[in-house]
Amino acid sequence: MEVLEAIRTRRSVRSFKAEPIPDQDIVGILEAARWAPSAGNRQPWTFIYVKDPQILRMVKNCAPGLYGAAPAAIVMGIDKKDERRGVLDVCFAAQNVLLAAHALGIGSCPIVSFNGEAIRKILNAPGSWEPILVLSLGYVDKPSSFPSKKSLAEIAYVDSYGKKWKELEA
Amino acid sequence: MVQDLDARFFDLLLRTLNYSIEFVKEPSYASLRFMDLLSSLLNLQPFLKDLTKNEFYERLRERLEERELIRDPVKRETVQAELLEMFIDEWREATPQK
Repeated sequence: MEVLEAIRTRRSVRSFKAEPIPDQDIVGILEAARWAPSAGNRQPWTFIYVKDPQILRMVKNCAPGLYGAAPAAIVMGIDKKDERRGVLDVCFAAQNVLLAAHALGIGSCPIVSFNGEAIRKILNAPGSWEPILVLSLGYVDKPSSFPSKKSLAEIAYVDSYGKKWKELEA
Repeated sequence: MVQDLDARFFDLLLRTLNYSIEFVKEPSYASLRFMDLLSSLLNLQPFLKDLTKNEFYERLRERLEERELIRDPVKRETVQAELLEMFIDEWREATPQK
């Protein structure tokens, strides 16, 4: 799948099949995360792949935003001392995960609505570690509809704020 | 099936607690209302004869008895943290390998 096609066709998925994801695909997805850009190449992130049903159950209990019965999740976190730039780095890595998963035919959804302290304890992470994102993963059961997107003319300008670019006026 | 009911009830309580925690910093009553819902669910537990974690639920009920603690947002946050710890400990005990 071409990168631009993957970007255009990826959707946040909230309805998953129970079918497990092969480990090798998860390794490929994590590898994509590893290659994300990072400020000063600090790579402050840690990725925890959650596949144990009991741990996943507890993560779900503490993540109100996690819909559907995803068979797996990746929790992405940083050391609290890296918070300022680390959050951005995690977001870059997360986008790589979402696109890599999509390219492998796996649905995903980024979740920020969760109880970080609870997730940290469930995953036995140290007090210095802070979860930033939970990404649910699984094969798509019901595909999500295409969301409406603002036009480029509404969100992009040329040379100065508010200056329209005629190339964007369709 | 009984085990399933146990897990479902436990999950429902824990989710309700987390909803309450999610809103604790907001000025609305949402957090307090979810704590009330948690108490109501716990009060229902003795009527569900197939549940097995009775001692655990009794301890939760005891912790929630003082509504004054729950009404005050700062004290509520402390109680919520304690309750959360109790849930995670109970889960770990039931699944010792985790």
